[in-house]
Amino acid sequence: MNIVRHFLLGLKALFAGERRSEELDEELATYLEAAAAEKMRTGQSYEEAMRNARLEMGSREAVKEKVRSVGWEAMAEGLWQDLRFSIRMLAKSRGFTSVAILSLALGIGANTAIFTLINELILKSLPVRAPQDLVSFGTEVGGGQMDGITPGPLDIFPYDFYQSVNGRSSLLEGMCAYASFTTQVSVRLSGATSEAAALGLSHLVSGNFFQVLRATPLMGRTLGLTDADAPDRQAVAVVSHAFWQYSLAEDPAAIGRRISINGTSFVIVGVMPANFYGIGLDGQVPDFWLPLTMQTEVILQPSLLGPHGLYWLHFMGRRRPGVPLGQIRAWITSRLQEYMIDRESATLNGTRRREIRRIFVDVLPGARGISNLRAYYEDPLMVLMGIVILVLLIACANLANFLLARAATREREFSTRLALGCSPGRIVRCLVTEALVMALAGGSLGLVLSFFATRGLIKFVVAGAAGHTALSAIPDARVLLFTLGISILTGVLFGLAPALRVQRLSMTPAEQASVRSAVSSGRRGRSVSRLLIAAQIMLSLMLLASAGLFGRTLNNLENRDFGFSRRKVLLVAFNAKFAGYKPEQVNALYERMLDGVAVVPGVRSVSISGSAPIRGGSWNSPIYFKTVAETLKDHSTLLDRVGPHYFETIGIALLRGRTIGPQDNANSMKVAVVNQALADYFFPKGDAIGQSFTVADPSVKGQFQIVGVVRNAKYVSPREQQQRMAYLPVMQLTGDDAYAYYLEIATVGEPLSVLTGVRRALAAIDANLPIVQVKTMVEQTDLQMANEILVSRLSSFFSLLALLLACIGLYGVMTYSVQRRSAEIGIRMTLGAQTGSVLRMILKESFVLLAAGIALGLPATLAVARLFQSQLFGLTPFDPTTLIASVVIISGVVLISAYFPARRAARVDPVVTLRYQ
Amino acid sequence: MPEPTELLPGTLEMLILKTLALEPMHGYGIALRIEQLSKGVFCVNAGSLLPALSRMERAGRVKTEWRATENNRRAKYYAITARGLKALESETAQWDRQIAAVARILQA
Repeated sequence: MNIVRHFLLGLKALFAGERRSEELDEELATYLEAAAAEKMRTGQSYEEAMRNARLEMGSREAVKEKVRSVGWEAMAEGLWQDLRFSIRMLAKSRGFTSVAILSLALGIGANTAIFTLINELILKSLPVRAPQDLVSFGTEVGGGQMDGITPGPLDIFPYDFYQSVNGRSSLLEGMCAYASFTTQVSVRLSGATSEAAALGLSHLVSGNFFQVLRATPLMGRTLGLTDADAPDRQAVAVVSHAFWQYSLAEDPAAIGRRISINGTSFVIVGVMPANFYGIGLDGQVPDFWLPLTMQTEVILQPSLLGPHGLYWLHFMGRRRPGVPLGQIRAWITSRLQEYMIDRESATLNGTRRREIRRIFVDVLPGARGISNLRAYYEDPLMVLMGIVILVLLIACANLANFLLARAATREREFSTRLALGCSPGRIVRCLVTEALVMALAGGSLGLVLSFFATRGLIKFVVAGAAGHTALSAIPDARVLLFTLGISILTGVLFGLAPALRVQRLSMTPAEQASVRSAVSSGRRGRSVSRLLIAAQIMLSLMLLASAGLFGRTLNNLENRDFGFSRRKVLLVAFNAKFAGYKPEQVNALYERMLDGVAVVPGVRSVSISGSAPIRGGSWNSPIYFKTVAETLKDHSTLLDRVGPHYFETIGIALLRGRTIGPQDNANSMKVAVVNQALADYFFPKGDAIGQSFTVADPSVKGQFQIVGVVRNAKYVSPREQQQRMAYLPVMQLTGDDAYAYYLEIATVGEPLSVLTGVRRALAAIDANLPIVQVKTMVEQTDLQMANEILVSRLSSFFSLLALLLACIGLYGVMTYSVQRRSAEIGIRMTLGAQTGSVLRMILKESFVLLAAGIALGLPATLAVARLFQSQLFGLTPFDPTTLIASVVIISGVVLISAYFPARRAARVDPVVTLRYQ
Repeated sequence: MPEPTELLPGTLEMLILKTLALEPMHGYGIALRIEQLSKGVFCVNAGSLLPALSRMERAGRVKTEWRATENNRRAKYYAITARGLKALESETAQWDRQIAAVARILQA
């Protein structure tokens, strides 16, 4: 009540400012007159009485000020005055202000951009109700496995295990399962086969998926339990907002509409809201969530739902409030071990039983869902965050220095204000307000810059994902708060330096007389600014060295021998399955495709394969040779299926024997080409050629005789160690293995130049054959280094920015310091100092700063570099080349920016400067 | 007449309220009345009186009104409110207690 009245009266006073001042004047006038009248009554003359009355009252303004300062509004008014004053002061020196705001905008913008991404990828919870109760079972990043689960954490489970645990625990309110991967499907809106199929992304989920997540639909309903409890249910689909918006044109009658997915008709039962992206925050949001039980229709593979099937599902649960994660972990682990012992009971021995006892399931908070992108970019983003913070610190130091210099030139103004009775606190408040105004202006501009920067970053991060992404560049409340916070923090940081100086001014008023004396005062001010310069040099060195390390890492990866040629090869992903080809029909299709593309002008050679080079790795199975003892511990091998001329097309060199050619067809003897690593591993003494092996994967039948050995290559990641690889002729495989998904095209010139011709050739063979994606081999390999490319590019950009800022700072401070010392220099020169010696004297100062900066920067760099050691490749954090180069660059830049002011100082005409004083 | 002294700290508001309890007055009137009633011991100047009045107005203990003075000038008159009367009562009571306590100590 009281507070409210206070507030209201204050507001009233604030708005009635002018009138209130008049009223006060009037009141004081009557007061004075009444006092004088009283005094006249005691016999004083009018003049005498007025004079005495005035004397008693003292300064009218002081009284008014006291009356005014009663309410809270006085404070607000004061702040408002400060604000207007600072804006006026800033507007006076436009050049300085714009440089300051721009450098702040860059610094704060960079921080905001990286933070937005961190927020999107790492901090945000799933857009569902009560996400904090969700638990994930393991770290859950992709994959699939048949058997041979090794001891350790497990996060992937078979369908019958899900059935055996679902709904069986009182610890959980519910538990849903979903495929560990999303699946590309072909979609026809009308269902007519004449319509060209579009591509969509689908995710297979259990019937209670949405209930467990507590995600509600925008329209219609989500999946229900009965939609996914048996394979013969009606096929239903829940579609994403983006799909509804773009593909269904926001059809208000979308519910109940039928669409054809991989040739099966699905009924749309629900549309999810725009912010729902499913459970995995990845590059691309699924278009459809489909019942797990539709697996055969969606993945176009034999059923994975039978007993003792593939490990391919992830789980997510919702725990009952207050249930500790450890309890759930104990429960699921014991159920899993029981299940595995039962599943492997036929072959179980003591060793295996002990192994199974060491398999466990980690139960983790699941509020953030799962994300491959997060796993991939988490570390690099933290490194980048560190880098942008350094950049902002440098910008801060810069501004602190500029403001210090400005404060020095404004010393007279401050002294005058102090002498007139302004409190030092008020001046400090003004200075800090000035700094805050700049910081907030910089922050606002930074927010705008960061929006565009983040858009670019997101585009890069989701590279290759064609569809709609859940990552958004639009800042949310947390990002805005972050930006506001760092703006204020930077403002206070760099505004405090000059403010402290004023504090000192007010403490030693005697010093004021000699502000501009030849032996310049403010040694301490100068030492603060020197400290700041040294700090900037140190930070710049850290940034430069880090950028160098990342740049060299990327360079090492790029120049790594991939084992195949990266130039002049085009990759075209296609999908014969979607076009309706049966395994028996594909060989004929391949022959026509290879023949058709081979004659396109500019094409040198063409082949097909099951997985793309440097991406594959998805096909992994043990292989067994009759002649090699089973005692060899590890028989696992990477497999790929390839067409004729594969090695010639992508440039993998043949070492011995022959490659796979057109003669290796369905009717000829089954052959294989292996890499050097495999040959050396299984046959360290003899020759691998002529040996035959069988593949453990039950879908690959028969004996394959090795006919050739090729050079090792990189198959999954440029960082990988040598892996064993066996190439099987795709034409000799059956069933699901008969499908190839990539066309490799070696070109004479620029790879993309043949694309139109290739598309035309493929369309002539089958207009319905979907081309899923087109990439050059360079793009494909770059994708495997995306993380390094991102960090390397951004860190070099930021370090250059930092270097530029540090340069500007040093130049400014040196110029200023030389100016202030011009009298001293003048005297020195009058007394006989030579130009050279003055130059040396000034430069020596910079040398000292440089040396100090480097002395501090080198150990700091080494300490920091050790933190991101794991992200480097082919070099240590102590890489001498990088460190030496950084030191040389920094030294060069620092000395250049110190040289010009120094030269100007040395050219000072002593007579002029002395007269000027 | 003894030399005028500054007020005891914390008593100004109470004295103002007491003065206003008799009749509404303008600023100088209050100062004069306090000086007269204290027989010139206390002297209140504008620099402390007017801010105090402003503070009390904020607190709702006095209300103001522009009125003509006896010599026909417009002046701001202050009058005590119900809340002010209550405050006066409690402050007086407290003051009495303090005075009594001090007196007891001094006489001990």
